[in-house]
Amino acid sequence: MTEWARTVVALCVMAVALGVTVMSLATAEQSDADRVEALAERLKCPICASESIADSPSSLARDLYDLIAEQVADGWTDDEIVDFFVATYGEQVRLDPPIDARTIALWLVPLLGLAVGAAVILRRRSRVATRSLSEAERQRLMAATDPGGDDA
Amino acid sequence: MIALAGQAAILIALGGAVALAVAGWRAFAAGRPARGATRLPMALLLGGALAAFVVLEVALLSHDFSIEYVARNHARDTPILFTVASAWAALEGSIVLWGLVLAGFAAAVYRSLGDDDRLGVGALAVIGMVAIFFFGLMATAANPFTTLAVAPPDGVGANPLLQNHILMAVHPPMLYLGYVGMTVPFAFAIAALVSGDGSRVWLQRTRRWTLVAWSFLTLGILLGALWSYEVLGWGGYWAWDPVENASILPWLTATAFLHSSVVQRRRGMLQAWNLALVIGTFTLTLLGTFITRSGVIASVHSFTQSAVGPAILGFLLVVLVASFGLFAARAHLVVSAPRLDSLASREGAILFNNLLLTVFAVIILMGTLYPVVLEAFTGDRVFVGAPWFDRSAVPISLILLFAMGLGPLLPYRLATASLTWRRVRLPLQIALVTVAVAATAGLRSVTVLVAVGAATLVISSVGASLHTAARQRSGRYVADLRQTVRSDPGYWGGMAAHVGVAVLAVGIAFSSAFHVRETISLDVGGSAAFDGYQLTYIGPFQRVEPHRVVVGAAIEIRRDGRLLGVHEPRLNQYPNQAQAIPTPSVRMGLVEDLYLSLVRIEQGTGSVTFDAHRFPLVWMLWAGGTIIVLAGGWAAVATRRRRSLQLEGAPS
Repeated sequence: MTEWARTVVALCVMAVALGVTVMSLATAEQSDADRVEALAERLKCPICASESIADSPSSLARDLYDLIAEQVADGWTDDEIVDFFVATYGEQVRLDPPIDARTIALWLVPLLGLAVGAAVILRRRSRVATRSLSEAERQRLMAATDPGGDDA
Repeated sequence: MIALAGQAAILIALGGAVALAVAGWRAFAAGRPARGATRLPMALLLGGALAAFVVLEVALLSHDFSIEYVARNHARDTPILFTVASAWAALEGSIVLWGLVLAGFAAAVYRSLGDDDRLGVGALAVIGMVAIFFFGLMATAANPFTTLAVAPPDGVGANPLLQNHILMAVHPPMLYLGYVGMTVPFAFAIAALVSGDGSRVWLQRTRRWTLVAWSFLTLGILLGALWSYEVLGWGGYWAWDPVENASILPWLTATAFLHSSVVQRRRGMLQAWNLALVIGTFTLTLLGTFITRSGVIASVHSFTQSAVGPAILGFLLVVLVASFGLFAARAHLVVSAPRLDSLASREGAILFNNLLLTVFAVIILMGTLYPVVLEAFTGDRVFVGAPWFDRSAVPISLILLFAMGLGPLLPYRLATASLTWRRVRLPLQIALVTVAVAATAGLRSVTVLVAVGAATLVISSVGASLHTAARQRSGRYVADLRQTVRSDPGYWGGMAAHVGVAVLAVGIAFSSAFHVRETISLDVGGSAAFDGYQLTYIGPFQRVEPHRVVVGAAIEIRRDGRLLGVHEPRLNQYPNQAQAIPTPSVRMGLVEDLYLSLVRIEQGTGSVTFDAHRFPLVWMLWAGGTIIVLAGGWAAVATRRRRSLQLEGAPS
């Protein structure tokens, strides 16, 4: 098979595969049980050190888990349920703190790190135009720069 | 008597550490280093550390309750295995083991010293200084041999959580081997900085030591996850607990170093960055030690509060200031800076990997420390829990996994579009087809599909490049495959580790996305359906063991009418703690694990409440982790063997 034919085949295979995947996913929906579990994982068991309602074995956590299940069954939205828990047990019930004045640094510092790192990498790029090597040149170069293969 | 022997051993080791630091430094500064100068200090350090550990074990095994540590952490009824493990199950003892491991690593460095090895003796001096701190701690704030005026007739017994499972005897020593092992690369980095010697020798030695420590650290973290799964009974293996985070932080930076050091070796770039990573990794291990031993952050892992915390924090600050000060002053000596030709190249991919791993570490560090710092300064309390970590960890891990599939296919220096496309084409097709098959088969979670796709990409690209490399040799294919792998253990070890990560990622994705849980209450004889299983409660049982009382429920498991076995989730009641410690029953399977965790058994009626969990493909997590550990260990050992063969063999 020629290079060109391989490329065409590869593109077709990828396109079909992607199409099938997207079609399958489009028909999916989240079940109530999944929503209950997801919510219970986002909310802290009020009497525990750090466990979520989903993870804690305490009886209060079990009752709250059932409460969430009832609220979901009654048609409450996720936000309504979280707001209810915050109103009852305070902000600490969120395992996933919202963005506000107190927590902004928690979000900004990693983003800043990412930006600085990316900037440093970009700045260190050579501005000299580089030519690509042929396969033979590449093999020669690898052999010449390889100090015995101790890559460990 | 025993206490006195222990004190003496600690002082001998402390003396050895001081002498090692002095002798190592003098040999280093003199410029004509002789190995002999460090022999006696080395012997004192190792002998003292070993003696201290042995004495502690003797004290525990002989029930010498006049020693406070024994009285607090041991009882006559404690089984012998956990008695032995008690030597590192609490604060003071854990530092004794720490010291012993450090002395062992120092001895290994000593053995590897060559003639006229300036870098080596310099590194020994740095290890000596670190040892001074830990043995000094043992001699003062964390003395394991302080005695009680009146010896009690029996001790309190070990922490129930720790004497509940054999893994607890193994997990900490492995983790210590990883943590303490990071001291060695740090020592070489400092020696290289002080001498201004940025040659490849520094890098090669550092990389191998890092590989050794990294493999142990990986194993320690893996065993910790397994312990959590097998013992804690909440059904998970990772909780983003502060101490778990503390162990993953140096793992991330060490992993970054294992990658970026390749760029330095191949292209002569990134010297300063590599030094910073090695120093950063060591300070992160100290941070982990501080978090575990200060009680600043509440966690299942924390030891009790003591003066040890401030001491470690102080040492951490000293190390941080001194080493980064040295770095700022001296780094220009070891740096030469060829520039990156193109971002589209192997080194560009590795830089990207380093950026992601470092940012990942920063995120985890922020999430772990931010609540403590915020509360200390403002009194406000926020809770940063698993959902917060998951939200950043999941996308970063998926991008890393994807990059892991593409990166090794890129050539150094400059990857042209046509060359890259030719190499990527086949693995990409395999990955996308796998995803499509999985989606049609009923997999509906986007995260899991992306993980499956990226993992397939990693595995197929490793397979494709191995195939290409082997085919370029002539002769028999299988023999050529072996030859290819042996010719570069560092690289192929890394590729094997990538495969391990891919397998592990699939295990994590499936077991967390398709985890099903149900709380079930049954009367004796009753039965319930759970996710295709039929669970029948046969009845409760109780066993009185010397050191604990075990209450359990016998539950018969059937599937499609076929009996799969009787499982016995239990609760263990220890005399020294009110809350019972669960032992869940885990039925491991190729498709899924069925996990039963006992909540309570009613007095009188005997009716039972338990949690039933289904975790698909958990075995892939353990298998993937094992592959990573073995790959790392093999690369470290094989590289060493190859180098010694080269030295003995014909001129190359």
